[in-house]
Amino acid sequence: MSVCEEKIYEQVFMTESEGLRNFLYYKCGDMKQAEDWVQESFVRMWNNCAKVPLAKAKGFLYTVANNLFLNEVKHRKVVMKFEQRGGHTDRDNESPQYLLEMEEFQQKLQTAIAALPEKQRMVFLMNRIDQLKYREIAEKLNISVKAVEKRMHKALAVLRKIYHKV
Amino acid sequence: MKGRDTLYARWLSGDLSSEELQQLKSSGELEQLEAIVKSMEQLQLPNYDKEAAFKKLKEKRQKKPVAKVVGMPIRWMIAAAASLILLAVAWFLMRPSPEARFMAQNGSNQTFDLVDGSEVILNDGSEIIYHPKDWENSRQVKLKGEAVFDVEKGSDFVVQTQNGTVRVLGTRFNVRAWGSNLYVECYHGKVEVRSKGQQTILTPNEAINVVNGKMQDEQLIQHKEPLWIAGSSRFYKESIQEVFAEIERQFDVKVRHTQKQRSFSGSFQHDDLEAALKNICKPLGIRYTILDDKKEILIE
Repeated sequence: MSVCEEKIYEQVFMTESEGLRNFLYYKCGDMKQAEDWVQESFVRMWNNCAKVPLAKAKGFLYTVANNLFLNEVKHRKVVMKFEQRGGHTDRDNESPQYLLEMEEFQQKLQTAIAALPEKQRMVFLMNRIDQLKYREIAEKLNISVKAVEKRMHKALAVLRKIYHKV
Repeated sequence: MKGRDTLYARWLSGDLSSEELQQLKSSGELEQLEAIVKSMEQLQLPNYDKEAAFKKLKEKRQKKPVAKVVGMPIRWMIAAAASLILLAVAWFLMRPSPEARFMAQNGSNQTFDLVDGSEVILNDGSEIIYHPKDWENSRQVKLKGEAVFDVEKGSDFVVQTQNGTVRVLGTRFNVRAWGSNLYVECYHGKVEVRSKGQQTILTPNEAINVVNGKMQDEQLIQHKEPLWIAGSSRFYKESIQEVFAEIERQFDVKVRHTQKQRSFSGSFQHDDLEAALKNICKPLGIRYTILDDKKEILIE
């Protein structure tokens, strides 16, 4: 089994590409850029497929993606934009006042997330948006679970403070 | 009990003791954290159309540059080619080679692969710089701090530090170069250490310490991995400043002290600040205070 086989290559793309895109988005805050880098990472994996055993494919992709990010010289200020999840029913039952406050809070939250140090932001969003476990994040970022927990704690410690200001 | 520095993270993953949970609740922190988490539940990223992206990828993958020659008088072509080659050579000789920089922040170590598959694990707060483009010609990295290297076989591999250089063929070794100190441990193969005109060759299980430019006697070591990989630091007659500097890097804290002349032999673990301080301060008979925010430590 090798990533040189079209079928396996496609399978790796289907399972890994979205997580990789989000990973890059959390780093750079630019969705188009993130998607371009996903493409580039997979092109490089194809060109080097003989050297990449299937078990190492994931590691290869994240290393290449991270290098693409590091090589990009100018890092703009990161802006985070999320969408509202559709179809939550309790929304109709809330007062307009509450909904307004909620919206304001979310604005503040997104601004605060964008302002987090990159390493904390990565861990926080990979856990909260991608629903990855600490162990999975540790694997992807090549750090210990303890380090993930520390970063997560720091991120939450910063973010919880915005709650006062609502 | 686990540390306060991961408290919120463990709350999220449901790993708190009931005591810790009670504390979070009564301090009001819980309410704030829950608000954040609830708000995050509402957020998502735009959809990712994997099928479309894969189609695009396939096109991109197959695109190969096709050279086309349009009719041009042969002499012109030769002239153009010659000047192009000249330009290319000039560019190649004069281009600044881009450097790559890897860092490990205080509080976490990091593993990196170099272009030839050699591996570097950086200890907390350390940094390496190298030139990926020149790697084939010269395997050289600049190191600030401490790192363990697992070097693929090949040409000489050189680690430059401000206190001397370490040169090897394929091997595994650890270099510590903080302040004016250079400490090298060799686990496999052979390592040559040079500093200010002195030099020595280390074989497996040997270590050398260079203190203020003076090379000490070689020591024998038992371990096959630097101790910091397993989460501890050990010192032998190390100046107290360097020991506190290591505390700062491992725990990401600030240590304020006026200790200068003393030296310390012993070790500490990286997961418990309080115990680490005890290990260092008790034998030396000095007292310490951890300030409330756990970010600053005062040494008497």
